[in-house]
Amino acid sequence: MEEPVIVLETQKINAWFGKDQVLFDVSARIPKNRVTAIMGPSGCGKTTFVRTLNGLHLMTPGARSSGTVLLEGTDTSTMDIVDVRKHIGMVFQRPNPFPTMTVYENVLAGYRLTGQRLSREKADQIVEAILNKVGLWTEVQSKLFKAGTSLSGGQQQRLCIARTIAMEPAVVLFDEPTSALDPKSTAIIEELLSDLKADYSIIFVTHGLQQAARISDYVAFFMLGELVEFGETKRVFVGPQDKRTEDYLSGKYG
Amino acid sequence: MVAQPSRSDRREAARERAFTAASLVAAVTLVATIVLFLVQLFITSRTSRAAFGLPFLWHSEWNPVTEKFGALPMIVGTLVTGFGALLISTPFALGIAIFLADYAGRKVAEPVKYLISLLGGLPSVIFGLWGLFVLVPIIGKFEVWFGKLVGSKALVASGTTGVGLLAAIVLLAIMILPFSASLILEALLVVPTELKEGALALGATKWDTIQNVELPYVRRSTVGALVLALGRALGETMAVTMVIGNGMKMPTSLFDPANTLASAIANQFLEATSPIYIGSLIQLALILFVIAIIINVLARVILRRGIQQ
Amino acid sequence: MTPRKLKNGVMGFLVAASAVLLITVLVVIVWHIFISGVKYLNWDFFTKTPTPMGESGGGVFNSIVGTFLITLVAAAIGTPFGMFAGIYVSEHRGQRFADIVRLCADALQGVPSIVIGIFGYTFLVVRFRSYSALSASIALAFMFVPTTTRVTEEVLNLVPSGLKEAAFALGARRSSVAWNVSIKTAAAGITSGLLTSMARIAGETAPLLFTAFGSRYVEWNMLRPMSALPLQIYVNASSPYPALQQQAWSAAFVLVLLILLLQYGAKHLIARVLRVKA
Repeated sequence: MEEPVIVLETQKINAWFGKDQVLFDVSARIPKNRVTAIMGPSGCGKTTFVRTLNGLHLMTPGARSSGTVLLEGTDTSTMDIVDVRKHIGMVFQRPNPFPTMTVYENVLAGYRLTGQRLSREKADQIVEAILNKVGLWTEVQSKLFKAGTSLSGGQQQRLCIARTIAMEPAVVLFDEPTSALDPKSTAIIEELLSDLKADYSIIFVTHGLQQAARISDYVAFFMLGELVEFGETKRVFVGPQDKRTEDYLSGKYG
Repeated sequence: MVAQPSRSDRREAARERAFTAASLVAAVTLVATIVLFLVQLFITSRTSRAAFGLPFLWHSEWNPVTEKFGALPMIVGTLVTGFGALLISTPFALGIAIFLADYAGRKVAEPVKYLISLLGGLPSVIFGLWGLFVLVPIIGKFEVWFGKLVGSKALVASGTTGVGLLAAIVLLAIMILPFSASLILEALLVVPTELKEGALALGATKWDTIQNVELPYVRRSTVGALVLALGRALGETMAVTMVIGNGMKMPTSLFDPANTLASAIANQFLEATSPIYIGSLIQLALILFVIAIIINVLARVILRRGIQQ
Repeated sequence: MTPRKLKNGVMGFLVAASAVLLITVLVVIVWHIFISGVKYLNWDFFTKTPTPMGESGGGVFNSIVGTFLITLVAAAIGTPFGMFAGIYVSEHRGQRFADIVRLCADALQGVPSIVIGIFGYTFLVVRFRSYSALSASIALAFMFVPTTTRVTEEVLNLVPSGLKEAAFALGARRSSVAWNVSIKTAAAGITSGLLTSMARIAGETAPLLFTAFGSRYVEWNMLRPMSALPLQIYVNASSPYPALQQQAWSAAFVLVLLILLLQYGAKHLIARVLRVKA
């Protein structure tokens, strides 16, 4: 495999909650148009790591971070945080469509929340195209003007993916998006990822080894706030270079 | 990557600034209000302080004719009615709260809670109306009966009115009851079920559990609730004004007409014409304001610690 | 029977008895207002203005108009301040100044209504050299703001943080998240709080005594003295004329109905919020 293009690079990211340091000098290079899985035991800093990328980490009272995030070569600290978030989208653990908005409005939520006005035709166009992209169009075509929360859990999560990619981000962060879903919905979303990576670079937090192996091209293994190992998924799973990765893969940690 | 800000971006940024400014202004206004009240009341009551100074607080003569003003009768009236009402209503408030938390089923508790919130929402002036036309005659009869019992001709004679400290105390007790009861109930409802079950499993009776597990658990919240209720009673205006009798002298018995700080202002402010009289009434308001702020802050501090425990 | 079991029984009885006593007192009060209020109600009561002292007949139309005007204007003045302060406290949770603001709101809620009346007089009436309904509305707004602040804060804190994060993750600014997500999600709760606050100030008398002052005529001009139901109840109850005292009972009945209506609306909205949550 040729050397991939890097879409996002972190340099020595450290993060704290109050006095507790939860990330230590994390430096990673995330390849473009690939799925990068972030894995590791719970409490290892996976979620905190992705939340430092779009600045959500700092919204927790008492939270701090240091280090540099380069988005396509630009230091994100020089950008307005709301622009960073337009370029780095995020899908959360639990489906969280906006309860006051319809399915249609939820897809366009990003435009509305950032004050961008769309013409009627343009809006219709986006909604149909995006819902098609996440495989929801035929399922919800008749429910477009019902509340987003009226859909099933799996559909809600795909709606959340839809509203995220509607903003045309470069990178999409997935924070264990299937942990609250049934196996069937999980499978649908996993399949969706392989379609999405044609247009977006995906960072996917998971604590399931199987899931990481199934879906990712690259994998970053975290432990106790450190990035222990990073590499192509096949390579890491077959021949881990770090003892800790090896132990984890062979089931020696929870 | 760094694009030129579009028009919608600029509009959003401007809205963000306006929003931040508006919420900060509102927050600062709220804090400034307290300072404004304090300064305004302090300035407008200066005629009184110039004439009487600090002894205003302990002089017991309040005489609009000679324009000699001392706040002691009103301070005493306020404390007697406030603490009196608290004393009477507290056992009932505890009883009702315990009844609703531990004895009543949902079918009984829900309507009773609704009735309590109804009583708590009735305006003060309506309690005053009821007090004046229903409660005061009853107190009057009680006064005559009590006068005969102790052989006091004065009481028998004055008992035709019924207005006075006692009427105010009873009315206040009724008024603060729903308030303290619902606050205590709120605290009782968050006592963990495991604690109660743990005690019951050890063979404790229901009352043992209440006395040894629940009440100690809510002690701090209960004290906070009672302090808040006291604050309400001390500042309660219309109901007290209508039944206390606007007495200017230092009360010597519970049946005497009297005044609280609040009722003196309500009763006399529109009649006051001289600057010293007006200033003295505003001075009463200032005293009441300071007491109210202290009591409320104290109660919140107690309650907040109660939650943290 | 052991002493412990006896005590258990006795205390159970006392606790139930105190509840029965409260309910009795309550029913007596409500019953008096209802019976005495309805007895003297008639069409004139709602449509006419008071007759000169001591004559029978007449009504309280002027006070009904006054209560509506004064309450609505107070709410209109107080709502933006209360809501924005509530938003501030909720957004800056855990910060020292937000704690101070919350404490001030709590303290203001405890300020006796007569003090607010006196403040209204010295600060507004003296300045404008006239009693006016507007000064009464401003005085009432001082009671309306702290309750609105606290309710807004509490309801906003109930908005799931996941929703706000989702909006932030889409690139929304704080103001946009507050308006389009938090306030919209909490709208029913906030409206309910506003109605509760209105129910509270609609029954206030003491802040009106030296500001609105009262008027025998139907007054629509906020810059002139105006009557209101609570004021009328107080004045009539204190008068020596039975006809006026009877009118006070009817006015009390109407005022209680109005307050119950506002509270019912508030409760209904809250019930809807809780249903959505569940």
